[in-house]
Amino acid sequence: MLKVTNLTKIFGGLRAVDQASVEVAQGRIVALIGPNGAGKTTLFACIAGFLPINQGRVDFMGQDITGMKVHDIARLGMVRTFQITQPFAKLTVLENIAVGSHQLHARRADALAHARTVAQQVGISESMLEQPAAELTVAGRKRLELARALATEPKLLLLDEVMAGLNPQEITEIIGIIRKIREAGVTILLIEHVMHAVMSLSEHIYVLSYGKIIAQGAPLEIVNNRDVVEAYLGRGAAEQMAMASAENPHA
Amino acid sequence: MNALRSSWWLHLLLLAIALVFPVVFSSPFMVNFGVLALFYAFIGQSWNIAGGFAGQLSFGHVAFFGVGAYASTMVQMRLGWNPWLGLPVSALAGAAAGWLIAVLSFRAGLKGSYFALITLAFAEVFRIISNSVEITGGGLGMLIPMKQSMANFQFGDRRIFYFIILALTAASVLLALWLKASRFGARLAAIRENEDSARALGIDIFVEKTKIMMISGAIAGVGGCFFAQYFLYIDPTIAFGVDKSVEMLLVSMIGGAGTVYGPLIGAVLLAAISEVTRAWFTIQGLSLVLYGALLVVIIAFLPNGLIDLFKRRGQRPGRS
Repeated sequence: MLKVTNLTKIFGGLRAVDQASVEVAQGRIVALIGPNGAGKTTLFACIAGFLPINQGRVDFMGQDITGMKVHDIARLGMVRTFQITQPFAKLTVLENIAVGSHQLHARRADALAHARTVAQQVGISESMLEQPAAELTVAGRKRLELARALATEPKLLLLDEVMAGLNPQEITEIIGIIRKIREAGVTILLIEHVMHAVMSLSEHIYVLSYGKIIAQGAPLEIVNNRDVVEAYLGRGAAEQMAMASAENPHA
Repeated sequence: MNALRSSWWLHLLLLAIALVFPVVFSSPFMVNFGVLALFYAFIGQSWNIAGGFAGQLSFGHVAFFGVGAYASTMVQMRLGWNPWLGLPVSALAGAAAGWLIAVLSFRAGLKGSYFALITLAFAEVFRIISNSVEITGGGLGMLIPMKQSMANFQFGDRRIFYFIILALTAASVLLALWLKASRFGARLAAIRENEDSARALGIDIFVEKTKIMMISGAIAGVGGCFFAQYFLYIDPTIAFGVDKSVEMLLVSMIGGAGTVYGPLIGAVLLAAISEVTRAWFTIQGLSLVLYGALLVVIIAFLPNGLIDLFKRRGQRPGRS
């Protein structure tokens, strides 16, 4: 469904994303992880058309979308959310979601009705719908980001840290919501730092470090990957851990 | 149009008051006051749908007004067209000016205060051009010869002007109501609140912003045509002066930008202040001084405009 080939993005002298290749098959949940500053959000922005890329190409559903405008990519069915939530602050929650719904529903009444069902899907309660989006809590804003994107009825959702800042209870809820979205037929590529969420949700993981994809595979392969451990914990960490667990196997 | 359905009686009441006004207050002074108030409301609404609804704050909205005024007067004076044709001509000219400014500034990615400054610059450029070429009459301007008749869009009974501008203003209110309840309006509000989010949700912000600038330009252009026919004279300062830009923006902001009735409330107040100060004092521009002071007070206590006074408590801001 999504195929990113050798994508490179350079900011001044910094190769923020370096020859990254990512593939997402239809119906999967794929995760993109990596230490802070690895270039995950930049890669997302490049895929969704927010940033022009220096090299490489992006194909979506068999079509070359490299260099296409953000709104055209969104209309094709690839919609991103923002890590730092960007609500339409003065509009109500319902109106926010309806902006997404309007993509496929021209009439106002239809869009509002559709927005209500989407709100229900992501667990936004009826009482919140008439509140201005600016008054939402972090958890509420994250759900709103998700709801707005979902309201456009996308084929592929790019979720940028929708769990950051949530408490364990809220994380469990949102994991369930993401699963349901996938069951409804939406393919998902997500950036996430909450590891247990990544492990339980995703079927395939890409690890980005200093702009390069250093590893990919099933969740269990990734946990035991030496390069990945070192990317997160520093050089030599994998050896030290191996030594430590050899000395004390019950730790 | 949910807003129209739920409060239709309010709209009818306002319309009834507006219709009866010149019958009850038939003195030239009061009729002139009514015409001015509605005229400010009309051009204020033009600013409001671009600045208030879509967040494209223009500081040179007079550019569209002036282009409309000159276009309608020029086809009449230079080409000998019937003055009534000036209305569609001025709408087209205003829309064309809106398109030009929108395409040039939005292609360059100008937003916020940069957009405000570029519109101000455009208005000045238009003023200088109209001041220096012959076809506009240069600095002397153009005097439309007085020949009162219905066919000539000139009326001995000023109340006919009143009803014309009332119809135009009512149409602009209907447009604003439609924007509040349509996909186009929802997209404009999204653009006003956050352009990146709007793009991410599939909104072509360039196209939508250009459309609203053209509509807004057309309205201001028609306002220019009306103004020229009412006073039968335009020159570069009248047509492209900064003061009219400021007035359009002020009636909107004082009444409540982004609301349907904000510009009407602001316009009645502006017309009242300007007529009263002109009648009682001889200091020129005193009305704008008072209006500026009022703006300071309103920004401090009613940041969403005077319309907040008319809303029930607990209702949220930014809506009409």
